[in-house]
Amino acid sequence: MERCVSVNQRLQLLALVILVSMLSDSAHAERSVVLVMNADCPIESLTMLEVRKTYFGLMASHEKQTVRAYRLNSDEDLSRIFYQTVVAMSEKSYERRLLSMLLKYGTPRPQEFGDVEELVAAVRHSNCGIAYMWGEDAAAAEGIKSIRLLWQSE
Amino acid sequence: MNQLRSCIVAHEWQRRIMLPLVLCAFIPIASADDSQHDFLLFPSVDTFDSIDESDPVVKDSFVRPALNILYSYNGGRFRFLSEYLWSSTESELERLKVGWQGGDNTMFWLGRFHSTAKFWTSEYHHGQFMQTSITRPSIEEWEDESGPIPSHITGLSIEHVQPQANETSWNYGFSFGLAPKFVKDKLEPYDMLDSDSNHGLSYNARVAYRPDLFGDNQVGLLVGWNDINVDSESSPVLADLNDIEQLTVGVFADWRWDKLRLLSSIVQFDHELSFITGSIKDEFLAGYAQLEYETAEDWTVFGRADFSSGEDNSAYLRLLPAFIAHRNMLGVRWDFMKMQSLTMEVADTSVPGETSSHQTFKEVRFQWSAVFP
Repeated sequence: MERCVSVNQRLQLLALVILVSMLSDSAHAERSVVLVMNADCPIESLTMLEVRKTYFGLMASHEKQTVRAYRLNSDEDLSRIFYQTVVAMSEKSYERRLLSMLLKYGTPRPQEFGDVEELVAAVRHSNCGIAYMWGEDAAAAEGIKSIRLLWQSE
Repeated sequence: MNQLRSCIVAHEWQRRIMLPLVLCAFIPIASADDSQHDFLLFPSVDTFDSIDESDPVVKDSFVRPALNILYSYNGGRFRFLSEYLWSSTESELERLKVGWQGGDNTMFWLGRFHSTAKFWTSEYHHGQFMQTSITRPSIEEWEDESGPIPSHITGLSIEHVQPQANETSWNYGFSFGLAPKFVKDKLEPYDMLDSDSNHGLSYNARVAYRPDLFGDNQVGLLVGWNDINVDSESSPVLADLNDIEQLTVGVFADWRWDKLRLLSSIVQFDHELSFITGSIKDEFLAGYAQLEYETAEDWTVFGRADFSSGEDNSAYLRLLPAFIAHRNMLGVRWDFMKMQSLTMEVADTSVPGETSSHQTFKEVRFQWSAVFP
């Protein structure tokens, strides 16, 4: 009888481990980074080239709307994805390029924020400001719309 | 006399500070929802010592702290940019301009700016931290450092970027305005608050090709024409000289191959110096090539050769005795923390001096530089 209980307990434990593992994998699979914009902005989409241009200060308007770039600087994973996927260069090279553009042409650098709420507030307050953030943060925020999937975990 | 002097100094100080304040007053008028202010500080401390001088008169040594302040405002299509440099040797408003963005790819600027036809100058301005080396190439020197080409122009400039479908781009720059004039032994830029200063005109153009719109690599052409009026009473050497017409035509390149980088510009100078008794034409070639190699993530070794040909026969360069005709330099730079660096340079240098024979010396420099925030 004891042996029977022990086997049952082991089976339950195994099932629990598998379930947690599956849930974890599922959550991991759903991890994504999206590009968001003020929900009232008439722009419906931006190409990857336009997004990149905006983050380099090379595009300040689109469809007659002022477009500004915003960044979250407190999440290392998110920043790493941004450097790899959006600007396609190292952090050092990107920061130097922004400094150079500001020094030469007065080109504004993307404004940085320390937490998601501040970032969302800035996007909502802007005309057509863009920001990148985790998909779940974008889904939970009000007043913004997701206009492009930038990255998704495999 | 002291009272008069202090009055003049106070007046000068007020003049320096008034113009930026007046222009700043217009900023709220042009402000927009998406307006943005950017503020950068470029502090640096340089040390210099000369050794092994051919003539004791060129012996020099100094420690020079400096702070360059850059302010930029963007609101809608309006843009404002100012750059002010304080150091132990000077305090000067370097750039002050208002801009209008005509679409994403074109900017119109009005004010005081750095010459479009000087490659290094228009890349690094006074942002010391941004350039790898401590020294600037001799043809890129500022007017008060015996630079042979006008650096500060006051007038209108246009910048246009022509992106191509394959993510390359053509960049165009054109400017015209008031050129510096020649006073004593150097060029002196136009003073925006002294309209009676009698300056000639300057026209400058630049074309650059970038193989990657987002990258640093570029090659291009430079053309400048300057009518440099001369203050004949400022020096006995200039007594009979009325005017200098200067034409410069050059090429430049900034190219990276992984960890190796080449920065180079070569310029042909043509001058016509108009004296009371007639005119003299002269020409010479000058340039530089700087190689940089990143040995590790934060370490860069570099070297530069500043060279010129025909400078010994140039009547124009004889007016600039501190112009560096030749310099062979080696250096190493260490970048630390986020945006700070320590740099050392040693160089073998030659200047034309007062006579036809060059004065030579070796120099050792150390520098700390940074950018905040």
